[in-house]
Amino acid sequence: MSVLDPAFILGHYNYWVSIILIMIGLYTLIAKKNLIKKFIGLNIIETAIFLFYISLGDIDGGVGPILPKEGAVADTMIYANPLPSAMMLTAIVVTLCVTALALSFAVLIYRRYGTLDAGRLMEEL
Amino acid sequence: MIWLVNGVLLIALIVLAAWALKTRDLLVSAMILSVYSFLMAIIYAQLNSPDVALTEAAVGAGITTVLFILAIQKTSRMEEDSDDETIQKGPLAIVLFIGLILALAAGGMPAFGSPDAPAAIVSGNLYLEEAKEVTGVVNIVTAIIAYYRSFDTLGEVTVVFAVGIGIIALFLRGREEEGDDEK
Repeated sequence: MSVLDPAFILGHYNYWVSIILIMIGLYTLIAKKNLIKKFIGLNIIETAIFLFYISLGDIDGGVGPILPKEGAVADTMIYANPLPSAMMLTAIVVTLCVTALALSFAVLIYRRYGTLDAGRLMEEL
Repeated sequence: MIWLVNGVLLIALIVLAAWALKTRDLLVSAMILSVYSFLMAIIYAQLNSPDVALTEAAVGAGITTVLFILAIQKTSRMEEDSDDETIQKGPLAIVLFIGLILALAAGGMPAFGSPDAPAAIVSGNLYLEEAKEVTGVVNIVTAIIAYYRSFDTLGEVTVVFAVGIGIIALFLRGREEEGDDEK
């Protein structure tokens, strides 16, 4: 399978997008000096990882993993994998917790030092 | 046709993420993150994960944005001028290197949505077959969260609790220190 094969590139398009988003988020995290900007980058990385996992669980022509109430058609349907969804639900809440804690640190740092610039903060310390 | 919609949404995601990186106004950046989360929720729904889509729309686009706006209101709205806008070579090299590794890894994976991908055959089917009989719940994701992986959920609740306690403790301490300064 050639790397430049269009079928190969298009067959993985969700993975490429999540990799590009991870790269954008990582660049924000490393290169930007403002703390709140860094946390926005962290959020972008995390949603990109969710996109990657959710793409793993999806199947062509599948439906969401919710069974019909009382029906015999259940066997003829293809369902998407429920496990990535369940894990990502946990991960979303943990992401929110990380963001909340990080932002409250940022607010306290600003109160004390009057700046959110990581470079200037290192000088002050 | 749905393929086209999906492609446009994914390109919009990249544009929004780059815009959030570029703008100097943090409030604009937070609002872009909110729109980005909403688009992401639409994509999740299209990828057959309605539960994750709902949670992302509520938590990612709602609560996270509120938290960011609160934090920006209590600090400063604009980025410092010391942050130069030129692309820095060191971080760019690191990011490109990591992106290359990730792309090599993703290239070895089965194509997106293919029916013979391991994720499509091995682990999902067990839950799909027995969850309804064992738990009586039709939504399999709910069954996994509340029954098969209930300790995961317990851990998640513990994390939320610990973070709540941590934030309260931080702000109480901060207030004490402020009081000391006034004296």
